[in-house]
Amino acid sequence: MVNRGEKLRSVSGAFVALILVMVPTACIAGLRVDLDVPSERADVAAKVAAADGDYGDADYVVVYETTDVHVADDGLGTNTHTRVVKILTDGGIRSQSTRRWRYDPLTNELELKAIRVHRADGTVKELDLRHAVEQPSPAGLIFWRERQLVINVPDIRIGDTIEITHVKSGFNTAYLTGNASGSGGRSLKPPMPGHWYDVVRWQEDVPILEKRFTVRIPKNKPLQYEIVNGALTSSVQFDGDHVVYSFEKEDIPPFKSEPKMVPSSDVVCKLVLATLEDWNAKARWFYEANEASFEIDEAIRTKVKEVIAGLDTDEEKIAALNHWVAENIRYVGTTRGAHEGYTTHPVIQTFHDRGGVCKDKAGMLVAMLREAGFESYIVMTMAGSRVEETPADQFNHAVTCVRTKDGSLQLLDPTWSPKSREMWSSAEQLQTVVFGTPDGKAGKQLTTYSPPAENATTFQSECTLLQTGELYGTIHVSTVGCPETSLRRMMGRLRPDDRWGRIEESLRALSPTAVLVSNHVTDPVDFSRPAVLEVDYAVADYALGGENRRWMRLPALSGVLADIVLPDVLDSARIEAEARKHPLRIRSTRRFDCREKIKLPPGVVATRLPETISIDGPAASMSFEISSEPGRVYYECRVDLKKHKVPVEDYGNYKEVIDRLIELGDEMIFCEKGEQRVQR
Amino acid sequence: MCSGRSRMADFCIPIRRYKTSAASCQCFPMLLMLIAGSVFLFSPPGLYASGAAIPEIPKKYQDADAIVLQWEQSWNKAKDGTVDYKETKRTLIRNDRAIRAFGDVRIPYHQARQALKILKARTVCSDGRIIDVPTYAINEVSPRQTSGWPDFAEIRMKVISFSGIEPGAVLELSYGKVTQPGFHQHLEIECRLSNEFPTLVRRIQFPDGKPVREFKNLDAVPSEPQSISWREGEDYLWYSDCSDERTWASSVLTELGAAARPVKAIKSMAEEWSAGASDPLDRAYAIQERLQKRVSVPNVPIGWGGDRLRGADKILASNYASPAEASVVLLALFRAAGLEAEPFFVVREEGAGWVRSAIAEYGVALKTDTGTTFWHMTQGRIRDPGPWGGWKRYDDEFVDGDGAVSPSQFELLEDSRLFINLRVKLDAEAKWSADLNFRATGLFVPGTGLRTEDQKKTAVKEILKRTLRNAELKTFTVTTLSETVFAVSAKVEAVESLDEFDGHYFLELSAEAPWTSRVSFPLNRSRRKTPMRLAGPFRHDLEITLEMPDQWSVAGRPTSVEHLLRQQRSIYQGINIKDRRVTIRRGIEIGDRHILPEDYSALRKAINELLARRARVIILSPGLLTKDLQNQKP
Repeated sequence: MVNRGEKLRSVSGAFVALILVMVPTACIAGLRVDLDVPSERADVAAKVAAADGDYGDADYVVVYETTDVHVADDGLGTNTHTRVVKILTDGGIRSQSTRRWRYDPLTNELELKAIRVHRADGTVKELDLRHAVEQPSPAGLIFWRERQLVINVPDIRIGDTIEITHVKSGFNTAYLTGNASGSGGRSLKPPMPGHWYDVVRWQEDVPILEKRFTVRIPKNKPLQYEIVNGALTSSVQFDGDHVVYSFEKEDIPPFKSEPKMVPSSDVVCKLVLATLEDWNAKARWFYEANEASFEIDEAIRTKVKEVIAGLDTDEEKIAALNHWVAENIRYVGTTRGAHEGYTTHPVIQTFHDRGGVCKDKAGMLVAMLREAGFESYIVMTMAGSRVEETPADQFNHAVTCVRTKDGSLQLLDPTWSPKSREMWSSAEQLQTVVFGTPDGKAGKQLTTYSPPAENATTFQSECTLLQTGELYGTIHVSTVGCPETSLRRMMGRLRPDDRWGRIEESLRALSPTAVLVSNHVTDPVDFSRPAVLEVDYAVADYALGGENRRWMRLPALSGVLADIVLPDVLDSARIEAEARKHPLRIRSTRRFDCREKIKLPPGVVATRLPETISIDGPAASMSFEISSEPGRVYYECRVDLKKHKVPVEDYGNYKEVIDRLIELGDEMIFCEKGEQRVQR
Repeated sequence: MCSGRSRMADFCIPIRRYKTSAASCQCFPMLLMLIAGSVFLFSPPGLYASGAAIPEIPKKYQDADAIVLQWEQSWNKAKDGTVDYKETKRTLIRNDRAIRAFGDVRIPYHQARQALKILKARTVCSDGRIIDVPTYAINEVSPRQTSGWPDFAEIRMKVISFSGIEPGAVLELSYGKVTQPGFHQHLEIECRLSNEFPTLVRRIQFPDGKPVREFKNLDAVPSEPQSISWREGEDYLWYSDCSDERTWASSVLTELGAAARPVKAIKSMAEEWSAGASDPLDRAYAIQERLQKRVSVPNVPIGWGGDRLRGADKILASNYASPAEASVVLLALFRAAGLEAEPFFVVREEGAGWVRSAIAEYGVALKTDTGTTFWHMTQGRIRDPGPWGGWKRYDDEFVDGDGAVSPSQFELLEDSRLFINLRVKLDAEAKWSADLNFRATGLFVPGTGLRTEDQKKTAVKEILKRTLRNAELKTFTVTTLSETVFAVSAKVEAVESLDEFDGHYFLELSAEAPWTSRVSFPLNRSRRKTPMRLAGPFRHDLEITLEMPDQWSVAGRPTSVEHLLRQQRSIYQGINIKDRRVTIRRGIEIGDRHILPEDYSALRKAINELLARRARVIILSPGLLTKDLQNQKP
């Protein structure tokens, strides 16, 4: 069973809070749909019998999966989902023995209709569904009282096929009407009255032999859709007052993920459907849905005055308020029932609680900015993943915008800003946002590109090699943008006396015998200037060889401190493969500048130096220049990573640059007593 | 079998009894005195007035991110067996780093058998305002350890998310939990006294009118890699209403055995899985390996779901099991396959109390003509001596002839050695080939098993990878293979020619030492505050002989290393160059598995010297460079 809501959330980790639709549709309370569909035993048996191919190392194969959606006039629908899975290995038994479905009882209805085990000998065993148990879902930081239905399918054997039919109705977000009615004693209503949407993925990590998705929708409700990353067989047919859209695909290969790739939802075949006409309508609705939450009280007014007291410019005030929300409203998701999902909690509560998820933090900032005299709105976005053109909800995160003097809307993200000087995270560049403005005209936009220079790490290193082979030196690391956030967060998590040990750990890249002599690091919450880290170190026996001949690596390129400021870039799993099938993702574009002066012992000259490097490509560039004179060596290295999502066709260029950077860390200079005669 | 009598065991403060150096032994009485000095009778818990002023913080805790001002726990047991537990905690938040630890409190309980009542949950702000936790911030979740498994569905967690937390605030929580009679066979309690943050006042009252114990100014215990268990490294309290250790252990074993009663379905499965294997050990392997592949083992904490175990048939049908149930189903399958098997469980710490929460693992003892072997559902066969060295084993022989409780102990790996001899021959093209011989004993014999050729090859590659860079295994012969010895003779070759810089060639030993494949030794930081435990005492020696082509010479020799530290710890490297032959002997011996904080820095420094590149690289020159070599200090 594809739990789309669950998969979507897993994509964006802890920051996921604005959980929108990705759950298969809704049912109309009161409308009884005939769900007791005959199991079409003969058909199932035939399909199962046909599923006898070679499925590689798959633990199980999806023989077929069908989803039939009935959409009602008010936009709600009912999903009847049947999935037939054939068990191929012991691992398949382990993974398929216990089935789980998550749902929100305030906004979803979930009913198991049938579970049948088709034995290899042709017999069929019907499971007693009363064995299903219902329990709260586990939760990390978001406690929205989600539930899960769990059932064990006992005595499964290799060769058995499990057929499961369930019906799920309602949305993951709560828009309950006040009057309970219809079946189940409550009425479910879509967030946007009259509208329905869904996003369907057509690939998973096991083979699917046959998959079908149909939508039966009233004729007066136009439906737009798009198929991305692949092709499906589709048809549209009239059926009385309804139109039936059908989509099918057979023999779908398993999806093989790659290390450090973009979210799989960006690359698998997807069907995106929506009845909404455009994004502007979504933006207007989002504005209206949240306005009531921004009412403030005296305590908030006082806090705003306090935070912006003494600040002159708009930029300073905006930054101060963003930082205040980021640092003082902790990330925790409590529930107000019907208010979860699309709407922020009343900011008075958020302020009082000093807690909320992204939408609450975004709402808090909107209210504080307005109190400070700014025009501000809440904004939807999809952190990390693509948003397709069709205006189906594809969002997992909420942020804030503020109108600047030039009339443009500046984005702010108080959820991603703790221990960061970035008002808008560089990790959210080229990301889709929908501005919740009154007229909705800003609609859907892409955030701006953050060039490497805005996410720069600069190493300035000075070191001295002694006649004995000992090295001592200082590395001054200054950061801005993404690496600055990494540095601040790393240090902010540690107690001051633990930071010493963390830096020692990083010095091991220089040598296991490296000794930390002293260090200085910016206070992680002093946002008045870029964060710096300065390290004094000493390494006995750094250089190889004897007094007359020394070989040594370039200390600042050894990878030292890179685990603190460039952890994602130098992660070797990113560049293991010679070629990739899916785009690579790093946290942000990046610049790495390294300048190092190496003082050699008296009378010693460097006679062999690494070669000059000059690489430039669409995804990355690198330059390296080294020079020497008696008693010293100096070099400069610059690496620019120009794209935070590296397309497959640019991966070769990206890999070449990172490989060269790592190789350079392995290369040595050769020094000897005597006169200058440099070789490269 | 447990008598079921509700008689209280002695109130205990176990002392850590791990084998250690003389210095560490000396410090234990001091610690004990410290605790003993701070224990005194006090009024029962519950008299604390919440919202009270923050007491004076001792200077040594001024930098703490949070301070537990007061922590009270009490248990009462009614005549009908109902257990009433109450807990009160006040925590001062000093830095937002501590919010993660205290902001969202999670209280596990069994919804059908335990009643949980939150008595007070509020934040006392630094300005005196009081913010009660709103009802919407008290939520119920399923614990991750048990979520999604139907038979554990009634285990829940109440999450209390405190409101208005800012540095300077005090979080106050008070709750009660009432447990129905029979949920646990015995009332068993373990109280760790210290934790990640310092505690000013800790009060504990066990049932049956026991006096309140009060402890003051308990220091924080930092979390460091490979620290010894808190049951060994810290003083703690435990309680059991079981009459004695023998009754307790018997009852656990009886439950395991009773749940393992084989039924027809299990018998046919055992036969199917072990078909074709005649040797009892092969049958056991076949069953365990198959079982491991198909049964999920959620790590259900002992006690959360009560003491009830499902029967083996139900466990096997469901394909999931708690750790204790995993041993039950393994036991049932072994027995169904006609093997003589008994349950056992192990307790890691010598001084631990007889409480189920101290049980580290459950397993099955298999008795064959060749002796007894020990099995674990997911870890497979447990070698003895092996990874569980020193752990107490309660099996069907835990009572000695005189009726005294005397659990067996898994043997400590006192003789773990890894000797490697590598004879490298370098050709004029700077490519090398080598004969590799090694003999591994004790913990260096891979615990994952060496039954298949693939497993053996992997083990040889693992050693090779940590010996010489760019080495490729060509052929190998296992010269000795037993429970305790793994010896191999192999041919290896360089993947590529030696790295060349400026006409010199670099032969480099691997950055990771061979011994690190089996012994983890955290080396990242120069200081420790807690004792560290290694997998076992060990010795590793590596001898490399390099034969160079004519006219080649050594232009840069690795550093010599020599450290003789106390507690039979030595690290050495010596280099001998004669004609075209270079011999490097390097090694490490650590004669005690416990490293005290005061010994750690010197040992780390010595090991790091051996791991440094300067100690691992030989620079070779195709021409004679004796002058340069003479200038190098050994």
